[in-house]
Amino acid sequence: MALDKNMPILIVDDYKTMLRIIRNLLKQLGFDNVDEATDGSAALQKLRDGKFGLVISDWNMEPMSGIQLLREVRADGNLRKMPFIMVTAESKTENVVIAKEAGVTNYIVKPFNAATLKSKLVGVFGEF
Amino acid sequence: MPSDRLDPALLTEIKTLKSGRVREATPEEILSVVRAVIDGMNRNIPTLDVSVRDDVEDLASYIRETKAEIMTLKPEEIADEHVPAATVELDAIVNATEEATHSIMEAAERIEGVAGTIDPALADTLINATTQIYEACGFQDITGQRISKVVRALQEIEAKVDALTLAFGDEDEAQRLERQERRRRRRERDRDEAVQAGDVREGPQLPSSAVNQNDIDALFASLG
Repeated sequence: MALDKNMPILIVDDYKTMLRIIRNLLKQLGFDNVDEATDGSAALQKLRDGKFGLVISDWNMEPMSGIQLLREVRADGNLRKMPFIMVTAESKTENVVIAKEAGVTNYIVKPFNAATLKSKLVGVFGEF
Repeated sequence: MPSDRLDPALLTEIKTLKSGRVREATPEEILSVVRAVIDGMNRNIPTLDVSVRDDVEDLASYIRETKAEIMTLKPEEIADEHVPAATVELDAIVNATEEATHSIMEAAERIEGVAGTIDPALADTLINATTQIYEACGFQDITGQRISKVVRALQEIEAKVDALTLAFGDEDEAQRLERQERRRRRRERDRDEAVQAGDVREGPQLPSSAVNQNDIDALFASLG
């Protein structure tokens, strides 16, 4: 089945600049249905209220970080299969291991480019 | 000098300080112990050991001079003025770069909007250019996180200087707390006027020690 590019995507970052960058890059890839949250708890609320097909989240946020959000998502019966991509400057090995153990679907290191974002989306959904 | 010739109260004080079971000794407390040792020596020490007494007196003198020199540097100004001022300036940099980045992206978005109305070959060129602009704008996020790390380092310095001021200065704990409160209020006011601080954990690594996306991909794949 072809990927529905109208699938709602939630992007989460406490830097408005990064939200805008990701939104624009997703738009260039054909994904227009994008919603935003600026921390983990706001994101969790949106995820529970809506029907999203993907979460792209930063790690460093307060009060709820990206890794906490990921754990909450994986612990939620309705959300636990949600594809979750971490986009973060936290590139230490232990961070990647922690995220992987928490069930992250893919991991992008900042700064990143459009090609990397696309390749990770392809990794999650297949070619589009 | 045998310990049984020292004042028992002084002996207890020395043992307590040596044991490390108490809070850090202030310079005044150390001076008090040194003075008590000197007094004890003056009463008890044989003439042959006078050089030891001179050494201890030199030590007391050295502590007094060091304390005076440190206070001449006015360490409270570092914590009260210089560090908060630097913090506000750094926060202002984050804000300024954020504003500039949004302006750049706004312009790129307008260009991208035009791309749909022109020759497809030219449109591709425009789209590629705007993609590069968006990618480059990621610098603001990284810069902001790096500056937040510097701000946290400054706050650490501020705390250490506070401890130094308390140890060597003339103010007591209540005065120190009052000074900290004044500083907090001033910082809040400055922040309200200028910026909002970011908060991150480790944040970006320096290029020399950074792990790139290929490394991350390899690691990620190895984790199964």
